[in-house]
Amino acid sequence: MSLAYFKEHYGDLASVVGLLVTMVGFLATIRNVRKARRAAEEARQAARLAVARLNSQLLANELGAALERVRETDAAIRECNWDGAVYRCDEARFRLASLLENHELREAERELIRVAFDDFGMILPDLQKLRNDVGSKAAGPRLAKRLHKIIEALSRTKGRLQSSVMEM
Amino acid sequence: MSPNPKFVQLIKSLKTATEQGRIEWSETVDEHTFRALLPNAIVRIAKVFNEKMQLEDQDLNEPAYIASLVDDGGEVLESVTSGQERGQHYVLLSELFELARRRARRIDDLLDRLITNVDSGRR
Repeated sequence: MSLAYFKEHYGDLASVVGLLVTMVGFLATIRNVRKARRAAEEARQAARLAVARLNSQLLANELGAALERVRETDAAIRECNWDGAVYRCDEARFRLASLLENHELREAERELIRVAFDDFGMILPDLQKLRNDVGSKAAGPRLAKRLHKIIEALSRTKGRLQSSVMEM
Repeated sequence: MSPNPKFVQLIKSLKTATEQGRIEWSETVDEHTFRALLPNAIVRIAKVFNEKMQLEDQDLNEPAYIASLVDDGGEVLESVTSGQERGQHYVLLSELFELARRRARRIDDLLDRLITNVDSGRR
């Protein structure tokens, strides 16, 4: 009886089994596609993180270079080395200018750099005047104070960027 | 050459905004210069003494005032000079300078705290 039934409905049963196998295969395919998509997303995320880390590191390096020029300007001014001060002031200004439009920096940090850039623009003609004047005296204490404030602000920003690189 | 009337208008607007506490001014490397950061530009107001100004027709001890518009590249785009005390923009620029100085050095805040302390009998 059952054999006869099996013989009679062999095709139907094969279709049902085929359908089940197809469904299992379909589900497995969907699962694999999802897995592949997740892996691709994770890889993209990792790449994004690596790029962000690289950008932050590059920015920290650029800031470090600007900071170094500001420190050198400060040292040259203290030594009354006006040639060196003018050159380093110009260099510092150039380095700061390259940071003005960097969107990795926070708004407040960008403002500090704008202010520092503007200050260096104001310092430069004064230093040129001191260089050209024979027997020129030392620059005022206000200039040293302002340079130290710029050094502090740049150091803080550099520190913040380096910490964010470590946290990534 | 007469100053750009639009820049003079900006100075007037800045003065009003400073009086209303809508604009922040900050100190610069120069003791007698203050700056306001605006989008894509900076306005500086400076008090200059005649040796720096090198104006022949100025009295020896009388300061003059200069407002400058500086772009983000550090280029001075416009400037207005007060000239002598009876100069056309003297009152506007000298008043703006005083407002900017008080704002940048937080003088009014300090005075408010001192008045409160004195009124409440604290030292």
